[in-house]
Amino acid sequence: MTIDGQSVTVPPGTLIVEAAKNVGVEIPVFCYHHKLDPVGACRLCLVDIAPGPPRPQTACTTPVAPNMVIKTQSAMAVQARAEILEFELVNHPLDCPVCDKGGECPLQDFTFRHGYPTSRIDGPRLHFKKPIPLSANIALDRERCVLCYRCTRYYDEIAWEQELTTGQRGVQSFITSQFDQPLTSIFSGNIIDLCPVGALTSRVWRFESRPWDMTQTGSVCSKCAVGCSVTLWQRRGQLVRVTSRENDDIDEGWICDRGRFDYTDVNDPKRLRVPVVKGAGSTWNTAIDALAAGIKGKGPKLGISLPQDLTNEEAFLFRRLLDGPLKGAKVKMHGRTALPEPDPNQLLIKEIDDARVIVVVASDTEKDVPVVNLRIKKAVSKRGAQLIVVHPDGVDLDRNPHTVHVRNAAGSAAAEVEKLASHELLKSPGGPVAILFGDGHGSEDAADLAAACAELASKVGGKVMPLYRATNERGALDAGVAGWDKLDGVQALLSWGPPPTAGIPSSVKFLATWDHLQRPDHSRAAVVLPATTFAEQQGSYTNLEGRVQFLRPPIPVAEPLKESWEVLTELAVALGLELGYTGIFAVQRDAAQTLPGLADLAEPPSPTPVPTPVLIGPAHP
Amino acid sequence: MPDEKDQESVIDDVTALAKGLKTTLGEFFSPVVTTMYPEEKSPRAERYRGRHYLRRYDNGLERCIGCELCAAACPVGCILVIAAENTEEKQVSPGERYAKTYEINMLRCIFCGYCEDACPVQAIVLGPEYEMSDVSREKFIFTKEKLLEPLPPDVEARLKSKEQK
Amino acid sequence: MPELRGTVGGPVVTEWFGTQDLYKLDVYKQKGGYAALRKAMVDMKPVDITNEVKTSGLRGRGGAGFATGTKWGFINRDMPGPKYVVVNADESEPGTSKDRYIIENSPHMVLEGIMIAAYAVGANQAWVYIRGEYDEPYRMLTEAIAEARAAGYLGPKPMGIDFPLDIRLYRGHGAYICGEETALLESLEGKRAQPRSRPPFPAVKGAWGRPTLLNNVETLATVPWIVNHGGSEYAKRGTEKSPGTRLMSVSGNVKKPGVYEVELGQTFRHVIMELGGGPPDGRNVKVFWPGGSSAPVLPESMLDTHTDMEALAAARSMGGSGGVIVMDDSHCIIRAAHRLLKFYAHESCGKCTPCRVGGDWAVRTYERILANEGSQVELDILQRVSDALQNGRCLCGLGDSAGWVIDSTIRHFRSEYEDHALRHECNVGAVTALA
Repeated sequence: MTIDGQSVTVPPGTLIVEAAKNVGVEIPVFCYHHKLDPVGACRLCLVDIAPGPPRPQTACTTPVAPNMVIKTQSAMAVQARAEILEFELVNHPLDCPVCDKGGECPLQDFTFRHGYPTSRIDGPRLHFKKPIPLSANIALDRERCVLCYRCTRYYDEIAWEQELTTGQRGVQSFITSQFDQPLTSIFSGNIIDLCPVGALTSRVWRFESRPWDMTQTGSVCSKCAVGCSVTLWQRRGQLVRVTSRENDDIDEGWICDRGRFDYTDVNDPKRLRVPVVKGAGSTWNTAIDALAAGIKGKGPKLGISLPQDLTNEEAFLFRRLLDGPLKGAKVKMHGRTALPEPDPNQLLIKEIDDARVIVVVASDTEKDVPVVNLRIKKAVSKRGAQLIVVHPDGVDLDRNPHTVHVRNAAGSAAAEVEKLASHELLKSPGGPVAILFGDGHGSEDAADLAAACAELASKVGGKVMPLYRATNERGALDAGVAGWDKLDGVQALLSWGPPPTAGIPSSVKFLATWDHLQRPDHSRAAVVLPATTFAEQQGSYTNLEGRVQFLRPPIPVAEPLKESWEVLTELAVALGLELGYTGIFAVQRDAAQTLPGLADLAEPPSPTPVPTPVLIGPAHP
Repeated sequence: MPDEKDQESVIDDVTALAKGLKTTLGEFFSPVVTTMYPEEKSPRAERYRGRHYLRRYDNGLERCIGCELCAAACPVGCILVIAAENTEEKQVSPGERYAKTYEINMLRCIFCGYCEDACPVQAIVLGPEYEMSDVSREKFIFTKEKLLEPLPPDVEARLKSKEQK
Repeated sequence: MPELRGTVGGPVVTEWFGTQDLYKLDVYKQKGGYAALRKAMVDMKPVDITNEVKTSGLRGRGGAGFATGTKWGFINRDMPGPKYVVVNADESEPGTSKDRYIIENSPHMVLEGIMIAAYAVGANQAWVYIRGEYDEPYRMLTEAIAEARAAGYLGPKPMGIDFPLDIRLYRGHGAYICGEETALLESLEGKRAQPRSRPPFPAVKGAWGRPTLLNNVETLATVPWIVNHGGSEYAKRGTEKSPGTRLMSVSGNVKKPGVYEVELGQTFRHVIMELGGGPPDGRNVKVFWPGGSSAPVLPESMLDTHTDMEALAAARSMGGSGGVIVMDDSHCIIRAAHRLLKFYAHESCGKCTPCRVGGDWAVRTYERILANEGSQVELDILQRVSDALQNGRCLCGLGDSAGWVIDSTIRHFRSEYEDHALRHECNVGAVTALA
């Protein structure tokens, strides 16, 4: 087929908009989104197709055919698109200066590239009350809305939620939440990224900056074990925004609201920046010496609480300490599951797409691994997979009427999984089976369950995926530091990250904390070290499928903050262990050689370059 | 004939002298143009571009909506704007957005007036004032308080009476 | 006794209308009803029924005029899984009341047509999507279905053939857009009534994603006659390309408004002047809508246009739903167009941009013209909006219809528009149409 004189070969069934991307021809779209089903509502993608009727047709709903000749620049197509853009602008308010989308707005860009050069719109515009808070995090501006229905379709198709809908009809149509109740879905933030205009904007980022003020860095989310790709936006040394970054292996461009909105602690003015010894500011040397003195030689009387977003590098250095001066210390990692180490040939997230039957055991995926939950939904609703859930309570996957929900008594999931082998759906699944299992937040015997799932997988021809929860649980398991010890009775405690969930044991006589925020417990601490956050430190996480991904900090480490590898190395020296690392790359190289699970640390890939927008010459009629 | 030559040159010299003195004498009787700055100030052109002002509406609300287009247009990057949201309790400017911080680094500013051009609400304008010398660099960071026009007298009186109550 | 004039060679759809209590099953059977169903199910193969309809040349009476037999042929009868017949009885087109007339006179004829169609395409379930405001037709159809069930025409073994069949009614909720076939399906599924993008057409992916045959009431009511008398007999009526007869609802400024069965190919002069009785005394026909408000208008000078679809297409209009609206010369065309545009803007579902915004923009422009604030700018806006609403710019036909109203009135009554917009005066009566 030919697009604007360039011939292009694409697989059958490809839509014209997608084919045009291959040859760098821009066909403007509002309603079309490559992850949503096409609807042809905005009519902006009109092109001239031959052979065909002598009128413009939508490129977003028309699949290619052999020898098709498509003209995006014929007088008819150019005029049709300009007219649609003019229609979009008839009621669009002149909000660009105060609109958070201004500067990265497809409506602005398309109007410049495809619209009429001068405005012919006069007369009053339509008005709505604005802005309307859709939830604590999202603001809705109905005047700016072009009614592309991306948000409602996303809610319907991807998130399986019924919270967002359209009210009224005709020119009075507006987007509204169901019964005007605030949105509660954990996936709500994605509609901000989807919105092609400034109708849905983040209230967390609201008016923080204009898009051109910020620099962006492609990094990894640190909130759970899925490890979605995110873009971190920095302005004046502050992390001002987090958006999704499409990675088809993991997240397909969706992130959950935890990853998107839960970042303001990085910019907290009350953050710890200086080491504190006995309530007074001090130098790093003094603080580390005081810490070393408090924890040295304590053996099993020393307790250490690890944060869930410990990087692989930190885990490796910590392992060196555990093998040496801190031998015997009790370690407890935050938020981890009781799941054992995974099968090396485990299921990958993208393989869920092709599964014919998906079995989810002892996990409410929406809360534990949100974006994996979206994958499951995609496999079910778009690819027709069957779904079996084993869980004592109702879960969000039950929204599909065909879900087979086995309600087990807490603790009996392993027994139920064993019975599943003879289940009707699994007798001849007709393709791969995906078995995902959690630990029921401690209610199940994780080892039994893992064994039962592995056995089921071998019987029905499938793969298993243990659903870890802590961000870098896999990396900590690989490094051998993912402790599960009880901290009761320890005399000295190093609380790294937030304080232990069970609270600080009363037996503790020496408390040291290493955290980025001030917390009430710190008043008891003899030593408080300031920590860096995911937005400042370098390092890597291993996600629940075993993929090692690197953090790309958008914000420099501001003195007197120190990177964690440096702190750990200095602590090792103070404890009498000479590590001799001069930089994080040395740590990574050493870790890759020492621990087979961290072999991927050897060669950190170069950062993903920031994509440059496709600009095609003016198409004014 | 050296004498003749000498004679000619003398005439030439005298003529030249007279010519020069004519200008001098002429200037002597023409009006004085020197202004005794700083006691006396010369008038400035109507569209002279001097120190910036942030304007207000007649009701006292600030015009600036914190859109940062001035900062984007500024060729030397001397403007910093940080926006914030208006609330019902604190309505600083009409609409949703106002400038929480507005700073111009006058040491960098080249007084090109692009900011005034870029402003969609005619909030930032360059006034006629050009005397901004000072003794420290910090003082050349003009903050919003410094840039803002004073409140209209009636609004100020109203606010004051409110405060007294 | 309804008016049955206008047909040459006898009525087709309205053949038995006027019989006392025809709505009752006994009376209907007595007249020969359900013979066609028996013939179709017992004596004919499904493919023969479809072929017979193809032979008849019957074209859809809902508006688009697509060949009915071809539409039936699109449905793959052998495909496993459920298939549906959906009957469009959401007759909301302004100036059209033929479906109601048929249902109220002979609900069983409609049911018989539906059953034949369902058998032909292999659908075991049919839905009648009936306009919400049609209380009486709804009641009559409900009773008729109950009668048909009791008599065994609907049920596990109609006519003794092992082909379970059922018809159910679904009442609309008062939106014009529900008459659009894909919006009707969405509404039937319980969703917001908004048209779907085509392809896939309903014949491939219709109600609940299954192959669906969607026909108008009148179309299906014609089917029993075709089965009874044969397709070739039907094809003899009307013109070659638009065979048969159709019901025309004549309304507006005529002495005898009503529903008339008209042989296609007659002139509108015959329909309006003779059947409809012409305009009130002392007035002249100014303009008429030949096929419901959606069809582009024709001026008085084009009264001799024939009623077949080809002739109407040549006159840059269309047969539409057969609603003939007549307006006499005491009316201002701008006000009429404004009123219609308001209707289209109000009834726009809001899914696609041109229709959602364009209709409203045009209404506001008309309002400016009518408030004597018009100028050449307003005329240009109208022409531009009209162009941008037509020819595939919109998702469904509603936008095109709105565009046609503007376009056809400007085309035929430009001087009247100019009087209003440029000279701020209304010269009704003084202006003659430009043909």
